[in-house]
Amino acid sequence: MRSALLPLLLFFSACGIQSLPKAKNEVEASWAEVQNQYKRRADLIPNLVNTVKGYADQEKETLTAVVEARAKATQTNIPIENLNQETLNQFSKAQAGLSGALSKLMVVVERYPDLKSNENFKQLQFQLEGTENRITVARNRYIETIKEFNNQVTVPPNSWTNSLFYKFDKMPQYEVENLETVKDAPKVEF
Amino acid sequence: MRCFLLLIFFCLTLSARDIPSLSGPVIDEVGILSFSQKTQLSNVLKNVYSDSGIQLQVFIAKDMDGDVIENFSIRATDKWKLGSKSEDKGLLFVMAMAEKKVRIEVGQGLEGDITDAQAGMLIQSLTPYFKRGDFATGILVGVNGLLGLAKVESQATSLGMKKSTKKNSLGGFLLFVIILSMIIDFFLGLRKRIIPSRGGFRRQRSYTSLDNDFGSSGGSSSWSGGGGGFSGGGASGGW
Repeated sequence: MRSALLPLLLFFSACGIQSLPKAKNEVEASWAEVQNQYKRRADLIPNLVNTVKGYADQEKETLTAVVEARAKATQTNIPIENLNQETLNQFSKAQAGLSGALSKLMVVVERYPDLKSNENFKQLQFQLEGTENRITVARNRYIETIKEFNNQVTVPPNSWTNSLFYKFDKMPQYEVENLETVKDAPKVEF
Repeated sequence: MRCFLLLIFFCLTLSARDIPSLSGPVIDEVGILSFSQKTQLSNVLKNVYSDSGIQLQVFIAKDMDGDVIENFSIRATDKWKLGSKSEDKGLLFVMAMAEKKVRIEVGQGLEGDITDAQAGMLIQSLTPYFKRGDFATGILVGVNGLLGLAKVESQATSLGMKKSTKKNSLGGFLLFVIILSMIIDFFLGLRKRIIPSRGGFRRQRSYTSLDNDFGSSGGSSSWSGGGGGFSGGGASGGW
């Protein structure tokens, strides 16, 4: 009995018995990182809004748009169990809304040279740029890990092991329409 | 046959620009650093790595072939994995000469010491040197600034208590080394001008042996990444 079990075990170990849960762990970690970096951006915003307010209080409309978009973005938090194509779309739409509001604010800021030379504002600007870059990196890594995981789930022979033991579903991937930041990019007017 | 060669040619031109393999702490594709400057800097960076675990890589790229600096630099750190896996104390100082872009990429273990804002300020302080074409000084300001922010100075002194051979101030040591190398460059240049018609090979040899005489403190330890992770922290700029 035991001698029959061993080759069977060897067969499955070659066919995803280990790599499937590993790929799932990778996805979980990369999704946590995506949310973490978006949270980091949201944490920067109160400070940014306060600094801008000190110099450009008349830009109330743009500032409230940022605050509202931030509130919406922080509300849509998606734990990995609830992550599917629909919730991912919701999440990225809320975040794209905040990206749009922020880039509008950054255009408005150009009209205030005093604010732009403020040391605190400069630092915030660097932090914001850095965080946007971290978000891009985290999202690219999520895309990579999802690709790997979905390959494991759908491509034989690992998919057979999956349907026998784990029964994992495919995980949602970022789509082009998720990346709405481009559409929301502000027009520069002179 | 000609078709085949043409195909190879197209394949070569179409492929995105590759990240070179990690050959040493300073990778200079255009040769803006002199040989001795490169050797001295390499030795300092090797010492820093063995003393503090901070692996600082200087990468001077010829061009990025259409890539943006943020993507280019994260591709480099993904490939090289600077810093140890447990500490993640990797740093990359990358320049793209054709695009006139510079970026500091900070490893996860150093994000607390070197914030994006601090990296940004450092970039702003060194781009004026690049604008003037004084790349060696700009790189030095960058490397010194990074080591200062990462508190290598204090670590070097605390290590210096135990190991008597270590210098007290790393910044001062760097400056000393660079001035020394400039003096030697000067004399070598002078000698080249005085005795021009000696075989090129021989001159090359005397060059390297001279450098090794006082540059050997770093030893010939190998230089490779240790599995350190980066998540896109740092700052970029241009000149």
